[in-house]
Amino acid sequence: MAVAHGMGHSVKRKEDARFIRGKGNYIDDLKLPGMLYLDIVRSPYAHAKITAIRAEKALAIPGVLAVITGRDLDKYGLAWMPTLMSDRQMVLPIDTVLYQAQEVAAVLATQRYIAADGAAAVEVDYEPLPVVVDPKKALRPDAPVLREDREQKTNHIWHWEVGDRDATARALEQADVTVEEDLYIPRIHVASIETCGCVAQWDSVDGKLTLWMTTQAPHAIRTVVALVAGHLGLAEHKIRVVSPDIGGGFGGKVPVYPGYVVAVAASVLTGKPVKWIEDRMENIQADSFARDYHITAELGAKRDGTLTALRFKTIADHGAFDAAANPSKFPAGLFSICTGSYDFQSAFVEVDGAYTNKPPGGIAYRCSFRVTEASYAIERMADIMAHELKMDPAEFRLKNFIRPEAFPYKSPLGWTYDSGNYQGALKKAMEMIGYTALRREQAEKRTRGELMGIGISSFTEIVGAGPSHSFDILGLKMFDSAEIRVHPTGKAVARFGTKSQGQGHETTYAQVIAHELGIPEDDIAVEEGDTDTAPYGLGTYASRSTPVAAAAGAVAARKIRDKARKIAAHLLEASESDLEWERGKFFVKGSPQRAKTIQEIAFAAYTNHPQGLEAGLEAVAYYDPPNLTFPFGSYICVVDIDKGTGEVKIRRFVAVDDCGNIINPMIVEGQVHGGLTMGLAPALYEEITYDDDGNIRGGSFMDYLLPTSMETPRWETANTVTPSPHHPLGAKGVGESATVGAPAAIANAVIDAMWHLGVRHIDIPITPWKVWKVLRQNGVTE
Amino acid sequence: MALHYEGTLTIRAARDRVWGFLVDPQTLSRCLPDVQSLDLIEEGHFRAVLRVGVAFVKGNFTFDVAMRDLQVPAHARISGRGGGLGSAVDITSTVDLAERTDGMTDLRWVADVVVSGPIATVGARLLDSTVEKKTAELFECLKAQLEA
Repeated sequence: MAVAHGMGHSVKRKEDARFIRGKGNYIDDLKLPGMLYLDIVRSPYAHAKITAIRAEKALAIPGVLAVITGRDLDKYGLAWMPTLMSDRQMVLPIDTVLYQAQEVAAVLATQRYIAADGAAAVEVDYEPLPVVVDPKKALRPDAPVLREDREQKTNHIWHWEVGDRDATARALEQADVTVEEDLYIPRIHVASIETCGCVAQWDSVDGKLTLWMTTQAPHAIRTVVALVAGHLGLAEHKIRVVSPDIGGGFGGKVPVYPGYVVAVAASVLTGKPVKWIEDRMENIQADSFARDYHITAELGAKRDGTLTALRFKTIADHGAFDAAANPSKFPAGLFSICTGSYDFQSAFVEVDGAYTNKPPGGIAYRCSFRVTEASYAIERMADIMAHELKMDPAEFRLKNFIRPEAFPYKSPLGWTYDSGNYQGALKKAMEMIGYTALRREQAEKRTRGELMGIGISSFTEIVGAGPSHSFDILGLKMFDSAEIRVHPTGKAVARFGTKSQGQGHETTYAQVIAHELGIPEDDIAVEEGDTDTAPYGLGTYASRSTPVAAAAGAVAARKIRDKARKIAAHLLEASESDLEWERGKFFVKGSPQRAKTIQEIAFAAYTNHPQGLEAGLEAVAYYDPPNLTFPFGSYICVVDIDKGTGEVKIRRFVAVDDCGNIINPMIVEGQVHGGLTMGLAPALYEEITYDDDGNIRGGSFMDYLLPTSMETPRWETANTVTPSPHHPLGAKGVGESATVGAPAAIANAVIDAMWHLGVRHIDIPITPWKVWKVLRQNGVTE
Repeated sequence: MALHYEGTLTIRAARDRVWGFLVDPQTLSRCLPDVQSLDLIEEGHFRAVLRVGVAFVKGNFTFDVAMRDLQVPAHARISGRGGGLGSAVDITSTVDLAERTDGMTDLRWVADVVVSGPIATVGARLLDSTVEKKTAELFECLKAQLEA
């Protein structure tokens, strides 16, 4: 018989039954009768004037139906589209391209490969223009202005600052010890297994558009389509966005890409369904990137090791358009979490956004809106300061952590941390890894000239955007929603405004409802991603599903429980106040045998409901979180460095996470494993660079190095539990913790192995070549 | 990505003959790699379709070639702009011919090549060696044709 497990159980993932059988339903699985295919002509130049686009040879290929250019879209007011960050972005250019692989024209054909042949046959003449790929150069007064469409004739996008500038300057002047370092966090790509794509189907009879699309935020997309294409007769009640199974999102499937818009336009114009699917190189070269932050970081401390001041100055490279997906009041996301786990007296952080001739974006990548950048910077700097003070990095952290009794803690950059026990997590990690013995071993090895390092990262995240008073995207407040319907036989369907991309929502949301109502997980169908059926929500990214949507699920379930109490009182002929709830049933106080199960109550809700009460058993909740949640953790990494090759070998990696109350320990462990591997990747392997002409280096899996199971060490994971005081379930969110926390632990371990040689910092990715060069400079290797 | 090449070679042929060979698209094209077609647009300006391959990226490139600053028979500037496979190649080169006392000709050449697009991104590490190889082949061919 089905059992209601509820929170804290490793319930097997319900969705895996179809995934492991190859029965998932992804966008490219969708085939509609008469469907046409789109492919895109892309620019070889990073900056150029388009002098001519000749379509004749493409149109001569049998099966090629149309070549669509920016001038064609311009007739319908669709050559440009708004980004999620109050900027605008070319759908197809009218006469200028601003980055390599930018969309130049689109080819519509009867078959996928004919569309590709057609794209190859389109001839485009370009006049190359000066290219700027370095944001620091882009901000110089003599730099060519890249965005001639803007009123402001500069490559500077915005300035954003928070904290007390003067007090921080004074505190740094007065500090006994200060450290300063330039940290570059390179541009990387989410590289999800499934690339982006859509099928647009315009029904000219009903005037209805159905858009199946790889999106993490289907409801917001529906509204954006209605706003952008309203003048063409697309109204929001006639737009249905469906996000089917998604093969990884990580933030890369939040933005709107030109291909989606062209596919919609092509379907409206032809009256036929149009499919657009990116290939791998298009996905890596043109879609939203992550990171690309140039940080100058300073810390001040007293001689006894007490941290006093933090100042970060950052240049954010946004590429050709600011197409990030941050909440509108936070152009640098939640980067101001950069005081991390430490109690600073004063702090000041400023960020300047810059345009360059690179693909647009600045999206998250499993980073909760720039929290990865913030955590990496503070954790690298904490290690540098500890070493500068000749203190053990663990001891230094324990000394400076915010005390457990200080929560709720107000940070100098304005956040109110909900709860934490940083000492508990670090001590647990130290115990697991045998920290003291490792330091002894390191000292011994150093006398023999062997290079071994121990790196710690004690990060604090900020997730669950967010409270409506300060969080919105394009004005849409960042609440989320749940709707639960309990059927007469006691089974339920629950729909949410989020969209799983592999996180396991069909299981965890069912557990939340099972926990609150006692309906077995197997009896609850969880649905997301269809705007015609699910309640409105802002989607899944930045670890917001558990903090916001699961909270909505709990609140909706509690509304149902409140109604169930009334029905139970009617059935048991008792007063509501005499009833007690035990998961799955109400019983009369003192007479546990006089009970009604939730299934019996559900049946009565449709067959024997009390007069004066509405029939049925369903509820909707729109949850506006009172605060964000602040998950944290301590990671410790041990590395051995090969002096001959510069290769870094991760010997051990212990990760202790605290995400508050846990819904499903197995899923949390899986999220942490995936996240750690995604944290390992930029630490040692991944990076997209550009040459001076704006040619992308790292634009295919030949050159963009993703770690596989061969590179991935054995992860040792554990948890501490410090519930969130304001979340209905005490939960916090964990999807990004490991990606946020891991890079600094690995980088710190590498530098720890070489600090005695005078090495203070190596920018990630720490490749064997970089390490070998540093070792050679220091006379360690030939 | 920008690449720079230069070199000299001595050809066992009179300068006028070398000059004539170089400025005539019909003879020059015998030494260009995999010429698919050649159209003369006007004197000193032609369009050629070449088959080019770098790493696993292979396909047809259309080159628009113009000869400028001709100082018969000593100096020429040859510029070429080509496109194909979603990539672009811009070449600017100069050729200087000097007569030797022994009747042979010294040819000094300089070429700046800017490559954009997939050929530069995917083939970056192989591009330099490929261009070097093709250039060597071109001049070997030139020598062979002229010294025959």
